[in-house]
Amino acid sequence: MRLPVSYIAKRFLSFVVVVWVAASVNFIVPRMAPGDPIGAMVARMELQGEVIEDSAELIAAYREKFGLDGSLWDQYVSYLTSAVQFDFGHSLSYFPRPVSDIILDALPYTLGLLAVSIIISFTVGTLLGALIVWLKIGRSGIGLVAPLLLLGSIPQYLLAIILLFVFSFALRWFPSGGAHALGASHDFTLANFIEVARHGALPIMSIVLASAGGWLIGMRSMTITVTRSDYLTLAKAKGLSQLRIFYHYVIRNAILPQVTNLAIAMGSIVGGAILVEVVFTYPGLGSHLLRAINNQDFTVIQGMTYTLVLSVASAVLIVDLLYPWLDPRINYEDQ
Amino acid sequence: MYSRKLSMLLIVLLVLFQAFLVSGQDVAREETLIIGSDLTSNVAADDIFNPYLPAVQRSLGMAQLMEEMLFYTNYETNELMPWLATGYDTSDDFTEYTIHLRDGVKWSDGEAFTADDFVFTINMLKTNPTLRGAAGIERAIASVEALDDLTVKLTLNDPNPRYIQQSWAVRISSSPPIVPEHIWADKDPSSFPNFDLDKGWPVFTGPYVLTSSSQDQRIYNRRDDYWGVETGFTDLPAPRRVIVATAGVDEVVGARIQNNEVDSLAALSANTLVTVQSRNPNVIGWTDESPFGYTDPCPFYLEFNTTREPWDDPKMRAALSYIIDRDLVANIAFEGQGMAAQFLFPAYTGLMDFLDSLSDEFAASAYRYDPEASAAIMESKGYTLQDGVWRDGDGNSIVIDFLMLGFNIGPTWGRSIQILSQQFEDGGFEVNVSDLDFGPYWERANQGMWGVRMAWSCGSITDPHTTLSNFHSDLVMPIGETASRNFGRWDNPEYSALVDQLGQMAPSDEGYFDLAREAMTMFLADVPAIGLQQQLRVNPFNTTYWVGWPTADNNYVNPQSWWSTAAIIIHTIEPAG
Amino acid sequence: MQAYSTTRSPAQKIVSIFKSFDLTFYIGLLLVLLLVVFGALGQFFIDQRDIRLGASSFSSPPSAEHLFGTDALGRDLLTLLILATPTTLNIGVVTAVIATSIGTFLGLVTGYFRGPLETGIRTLIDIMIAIPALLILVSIASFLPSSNTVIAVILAIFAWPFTARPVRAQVLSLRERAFVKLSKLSKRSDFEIIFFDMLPNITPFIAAGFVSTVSNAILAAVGLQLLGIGPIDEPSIGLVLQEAFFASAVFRELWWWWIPPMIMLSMIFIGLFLISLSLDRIARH
Repeated sequence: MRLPVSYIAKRFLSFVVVVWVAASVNFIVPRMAPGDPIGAMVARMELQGEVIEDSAELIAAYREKFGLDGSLWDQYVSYLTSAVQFDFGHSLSYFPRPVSDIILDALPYTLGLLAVSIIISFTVGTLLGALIVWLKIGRSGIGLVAPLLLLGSIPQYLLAIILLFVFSFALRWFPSGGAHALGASHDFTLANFIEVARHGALPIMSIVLASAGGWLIGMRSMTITVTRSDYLTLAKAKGLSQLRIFYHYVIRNAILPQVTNLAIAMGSIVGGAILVEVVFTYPGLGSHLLRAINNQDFTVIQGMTYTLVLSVASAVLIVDLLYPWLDPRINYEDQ
Repeated sequence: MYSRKLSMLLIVLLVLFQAFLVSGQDVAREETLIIGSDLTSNVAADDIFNPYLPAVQRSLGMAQLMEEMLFYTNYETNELMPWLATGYDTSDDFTEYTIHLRDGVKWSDGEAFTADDFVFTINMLKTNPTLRGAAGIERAIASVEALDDLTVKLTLNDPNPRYIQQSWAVRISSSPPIVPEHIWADKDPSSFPNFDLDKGWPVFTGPYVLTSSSQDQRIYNRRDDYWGVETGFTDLPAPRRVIVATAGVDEVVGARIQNNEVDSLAALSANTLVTVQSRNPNVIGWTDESPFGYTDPCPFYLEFNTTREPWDDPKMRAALSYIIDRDLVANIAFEGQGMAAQFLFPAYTGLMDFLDSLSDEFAASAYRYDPEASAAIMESKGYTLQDGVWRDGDGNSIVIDFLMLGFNIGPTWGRSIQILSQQFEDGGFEVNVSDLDFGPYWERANQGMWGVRMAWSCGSITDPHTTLSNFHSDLVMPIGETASRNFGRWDNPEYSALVDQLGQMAPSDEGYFDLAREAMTMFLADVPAIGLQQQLRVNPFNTTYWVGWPTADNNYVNPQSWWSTAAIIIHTIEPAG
Repeated sequence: MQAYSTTRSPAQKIVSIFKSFDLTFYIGLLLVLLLVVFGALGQFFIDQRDIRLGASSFSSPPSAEHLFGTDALGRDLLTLLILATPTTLNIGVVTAVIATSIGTFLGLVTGYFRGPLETGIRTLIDIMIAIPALLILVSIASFLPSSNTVIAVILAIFAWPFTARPVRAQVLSLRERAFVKLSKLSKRSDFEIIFFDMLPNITPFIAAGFVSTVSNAILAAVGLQLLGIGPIDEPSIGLVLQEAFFASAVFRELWWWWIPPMIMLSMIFIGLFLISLSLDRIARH
């Protein structure tokens, strides 16, 4: 096929614009709130009973130190510079801890949680969706997967609470929160690995149960479309084996929109997982981001959201760029 | 062939598994104390152990296990317990304090703890304004010098008979810890994290050293070369290891103490404790029956912005005070386990005795629930009640611009907003609630951008002066500028003069309480702020592994596990077995 | 998708649409209608004074006097839930009306026209999808006066791209259809082609999108409420749940406090899901 140069250029340009504007919004909105991180911190300390004498001086001193007394424009320029260099400096409310350390501490938990649950729910949902149509299971088949579909319509966090109640409080099979047993070391041992898996089970289960149904439906309708197409009839006529047709013709063609949706859904999956993390006090990015917003810790908010924006935008970009190879039927010059 | 491969694999797996198991826990659960921290979510700052950085979380073990204070104030016995110090002298005019340090105290790296460390710490704070608490030290202390290795002389800017109790004896939560000069001398204290496990940092004098720190827990091991044993001052505490861990939200922490996963929690609602106790009788509160909690030194109160109409009128402030049923507010906020506050003082013996002596003054004041008295004031001000709302001649109602902390703080605040709004409306006022997060709340609060606000009053513990001094005229700032205290900008020079006088007297001085009564009478007449409810904190302990916890029956010290005074609890508890 | 040919009258079309609804649709509709009736008719049987704080005893289980029991603030839960139902449904509908109108309009325009405007709107859609909505919602909610209307509007701002994107895709494929090409040849104006030729054809599709936007908006609003963000002076199902969880109702086995609102929310979500599933099926045939 012809390499769609202008298509790639357009896509890249739009990628840059998307990241820039989204990053700017993430700069402006948290700053629209009155107050500042040091004031928030002083308020918290005082609520805990600590008496901060002359808090006004402390607030003023820190504003100067962090450049929060500079103009919004100066702050914006330095933010963009740091974003390009991928260096977000120090957390304001956890000074002098670097933002990157905070992210790296929490990232493995969130990635682990999301990766495992997305892989399970995407695979299970997609396969079931394709199989239902392919095996012509029909109405009774829908009946078999109906529970999954209904669960899929209930939000993850409600499922999380139900699972917490049933499997942790009532049956006591799984721990009620956290990622490790209290007091256990975090060394990499088999015993700890089992503990981490046990702690991750309920959060993962709630995300999987809530999202598998969506993938199932998407795949089912795509597979219906594919099975009606001419080339499938041709493939059948050629006498190819069922498995081969199923894999090469059905799955491969029907899965394309699923992958796009996966890329687009990335952002909302991360967002939805935040609540699950909160329910299970899971030490991932979600609780850190939420607290950074509470603390008005601008550098941490910027670092985390920029990472998020960049990954979602990149995922969409990659899918868009891969499309010409995956599906040569689409006319890109026209897009 | 196949089975042989399989059995080889099994053996390898078993060996690996053994290796994994061996490297697990090396201190038995019976010898480990696990404290659920006062934080409900994990801390991003797991490598900050510099007690003067605003980001530090001293309550996660630093304050109780590593740092030691010069003195501890014991709320229950009302005594000053000397620890790193042995005592102090003061000049007659209360401007010079000589503090005597204990002989034989050693830092955890073996160096001697001396007066030079104290002098270094004070000077460090005086020259680094961004450090936590630095402004207060700079304002109070004119100069500091070491008279010898164990004696420090502090010269104050203003006379203050309460200086040691206020600043160096854990009045509330904690006091500034002294840091070792030999480690800190060449560091920039405004960015030094004081964390390097390989070097044995952080170095403090306490009986525990940090062995690991992560966002959800910190592990401390006991060290056998603790100075207290060598000098015969105290024994080693019983727990060989202490873990301070993020406990989580109420719904989850209840399960954790019920399952004996933790030995202590910083907060639990009283009714959750009742549920836990019904399933695990080993879990105890401060009292065996309602209200289970310990009175926090900072009660909730309602403050008026005295520069704003109509709250610039003491009569109108009184009218609002009369419509608040404090018992109902406390009961709703604490789900039937609350305690109303007559004034802004915590319910501690000395302060309650003082309030009791003012019963006539209270009876004559607006500090009680009396809707009819409120109606009388409103009518005298020319308001008429129309459809349950007070309106002036032009038909305008009064909208209370009500500022609250409301964002994700917890049930007490949310319920207080609802019950107070209900009472304001019942009393014929309209309400506009701003329930904000910490940052926005604090900015609006200290700049005076509100009409009425709910806040917490940290001040007096034993005598009334400190709370009263929070309303001094000198603290009044123009609207829009940051105030440190007296956010309501109540400006009463006569009252402030009395507070100044009180500040220069010790409570034992003759005439002190007469002056205090006089100041209180002015306060009560002017109604700049009213008491709402005591902050009862349920701080449960688990007797499965450890016994000897402080309770109302065994009240050797106040029970807050996140305060510096918890060091005394840890020195006292014993294994249950 | 089969074009509903322009030769049929609107009335015929409506009849044919109703005929095409299946059992799934009616079960979904029944679930949602049950709640609407509960909220609407319930209003006639309740006394506002029952939801005053401290009106009854705290946390008492269901009884003859309080059919759904009371919460930890002494409020009658049945009354509270009757008042909460319309609020919660409202958030969804308000959000969906705004988001669907904007999303459909922009989707139609970007799908039909070419040029800088189209590129601009397409980029805007991509931007909106890339911004973490939760962050913005939490940030804004921390300082804006919290009211359910404000939350619904903010949710709509983030919801419309998820309507615009698929609508655009539909229009792109419709544009190549014979009947549209025919319309163009017959010199109908762009306006007429978009709104009289294309829009009717994608109506079931938009309806399905509308229903899932209602569902997503309620999902997000309840989620925010559970994080502690949202008005606490307007009863909503999310608020009842938030207060239950803040009071450890699950751990304390105060089941009457959290299970009914949970069931009601599930009814909403399952009901709306079944409706949109059915509409989606119609849209594809």
